Amino acid sequence: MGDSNRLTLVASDGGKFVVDKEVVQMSVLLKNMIEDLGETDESIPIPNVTSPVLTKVIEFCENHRTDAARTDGPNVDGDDARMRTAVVSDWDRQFFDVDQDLMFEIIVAANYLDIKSLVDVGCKVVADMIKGKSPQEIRDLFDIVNDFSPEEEAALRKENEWANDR
Amino acid sequence: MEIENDYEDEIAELIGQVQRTLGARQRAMRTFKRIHILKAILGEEINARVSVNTLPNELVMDVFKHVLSDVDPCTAITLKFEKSTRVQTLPLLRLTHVCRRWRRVALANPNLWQRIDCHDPEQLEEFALRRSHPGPFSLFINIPRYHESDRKDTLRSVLMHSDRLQRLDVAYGLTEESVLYSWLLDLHVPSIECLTISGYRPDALLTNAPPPMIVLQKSLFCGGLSRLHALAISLIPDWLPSNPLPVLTHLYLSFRWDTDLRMSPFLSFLGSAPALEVLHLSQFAALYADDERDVASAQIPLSQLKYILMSNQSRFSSALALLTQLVIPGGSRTYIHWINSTYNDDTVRILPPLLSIAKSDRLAIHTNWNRLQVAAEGHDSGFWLDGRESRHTNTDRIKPWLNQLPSMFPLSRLSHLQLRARCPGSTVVQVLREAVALKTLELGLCLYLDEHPREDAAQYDGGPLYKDFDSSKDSLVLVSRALSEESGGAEPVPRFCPKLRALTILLDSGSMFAQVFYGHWKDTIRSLLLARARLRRPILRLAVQPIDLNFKDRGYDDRVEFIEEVLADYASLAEHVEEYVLHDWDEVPITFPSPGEDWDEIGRYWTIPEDDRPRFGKS
Repeated sequence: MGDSNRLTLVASDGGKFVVDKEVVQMSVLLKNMIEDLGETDESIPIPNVTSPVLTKVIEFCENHRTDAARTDGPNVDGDDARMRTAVVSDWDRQFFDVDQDLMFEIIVAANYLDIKSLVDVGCKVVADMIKGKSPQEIRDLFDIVNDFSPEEEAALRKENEWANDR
Repeated sequence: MEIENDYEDEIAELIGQVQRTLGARQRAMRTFKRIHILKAILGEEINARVSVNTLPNELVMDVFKHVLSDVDPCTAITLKFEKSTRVQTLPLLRLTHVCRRWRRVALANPNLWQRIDCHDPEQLEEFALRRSHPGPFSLFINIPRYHESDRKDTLRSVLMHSDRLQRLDVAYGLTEESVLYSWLLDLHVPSIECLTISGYRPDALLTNAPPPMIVLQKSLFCGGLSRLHALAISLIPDWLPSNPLPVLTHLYLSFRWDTDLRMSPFLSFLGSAPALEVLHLSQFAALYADDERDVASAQIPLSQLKYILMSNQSRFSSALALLTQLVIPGGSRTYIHWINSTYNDDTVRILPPLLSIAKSDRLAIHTNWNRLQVAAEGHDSGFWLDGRESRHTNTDRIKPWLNQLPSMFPLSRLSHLQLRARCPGSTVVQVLREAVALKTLELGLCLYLDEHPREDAAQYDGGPLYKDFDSSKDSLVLVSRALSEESGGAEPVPRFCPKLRALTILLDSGSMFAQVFYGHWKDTIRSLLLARARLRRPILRLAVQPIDLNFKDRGYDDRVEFIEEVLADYASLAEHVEEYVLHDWDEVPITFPSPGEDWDEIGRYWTIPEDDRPRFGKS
């Protein structure tokens, strides 16, 4: 019988991670799985998450394990209020100072694992990258191409005229 | 004939060429269109593979909401007519112009389009009405930004969809009042939760119109305002709505300075809003004698009230008259800002018994020639007063007001008193006599004011000659003697403020006195400390600022040397207390208290104009 306070997560590429149960319980998905499984030595597969991404997710959870707002706390003010008050610390910004592919994989993984605080912080970091930029600057930032047809472009131009008209 | 046949052949050939060219052009156009479509499809395929678009739609929406979180329409709405006021729409549009997927996500979420700033009917139709459908929507309409010819169309569009209207913010200029009113009075808005009307404030000196008499208008908005939580009208015209407002929590009303306000209809109006939590009256107007007579018996219960503000040069007399007519919880925060100006002969009044003062245990009073600031705070109550007498008045009304402190404030409950007032030491002693529970005293004393009344300010500012010094007339001496006085009995204790442990003294020296006076005042403070120690009620913490100067007053080298000598002398007081703070000439040893309660609540639905914000000690 292993340490009952720890368990093993298996990433989609086979990488194994032994972590504290307290840490992984920031994930609503894993918390429910642990409750369903009860005391067990079985590893928990995370089929949609690769080792590099899971490494980062665990790093975030370990850093935020003592946060007051846990997943099982009441959400009294609703999602919008939670969103407005989401705080991005210096550590969080440093955490997301990675290449864009990894950044979005982390956010998608956090969404899959249902880790609200990581999703919130990730979305806020992305939003901060977008704020104040023109559509073309946003495209350049994320390697998006302009996929509007000429007719659609004409409609966008009209909207811009409306918005810019004083 | 042959010539004609030749032309006909040539024309037919030319027509054929034109038709072939047109056909080729049409084929080319179709090809171009297919290319554009393919390009768009290809672009969409490429975009589907970029990392940001691996986010599911709900997370893209979360990102959008974060981007727009700074674009809060509530804070954009300032209750003051300004042509430039806008609710930002551009940040939202920019998101929808990045790529087709982002646009689809944004357009599929009506709640993103609930708060739009519109200024033409076509835009209103597209943004506010179609994209927010079927959800509720909010509108900011700055009427002067609409073309004259568009206004009726706009209003008609709004009227047709007003059952979904949740919030309406209207700003109007000098000439649009009649259009606005007729529209507002007819609007059917069963879902409306917040209504703000911000109008142009006419220059009081330039208008010849008689002052409007405010009356209760017939029921507005087809009678239904059952969901209205917040209502702001700035300026009040000649009417107030007569509708029941059962869930109204926030009310802001701004009056014209010369409005003919009658208390009876105003109280009736307040009585229709029993759930009020924030009542904010700006430039609360004058009441007339006949009104005061006929409301004597009518009291309005507002049991949920948390804040009542009468700001921006409200009439002191009207404010007090209203307070005595309302039945409000003792925990309500009360703020009054008044001014006695050339156009307004309202003066500082003695405060009647007020629940918001009755439970105070901390009192701060600052006066500075013609300004009076008061903060009376308790565990769950608070009263703030900020007012100014006219600069032109020859009568000092503030000093007599200070003499009435024992009748206005619960001095015996006070644990903390801050008194920085231009009043004689005898007035301070009068207050201290009542303040039996005082633990902390912060005093800003005007020296020698007992001997030199204000009319002799010029002589006083120069300071008395040392040979003329009469310690029985000096404010600090009077206060120190009182605090050193013993009670009788076998074990004497201080007669005044026996629980006093912390003392701050600011010597308001104006122009500086001779150094020998500073030595005398230092000895006076030392005597006080020794007396309290002898009575086993020592002062544990002492803070002193012997010289209080404006920066400009300091600018001579001899003064620098003088100040340093005085400070060095006063450093010796440290040996008599556990904690000693010696303040330099440019420090602020006594700061007006910041209220503990979160006053942001008064701006929950809108931005309060600068003039209407509680000042809390700021000049």
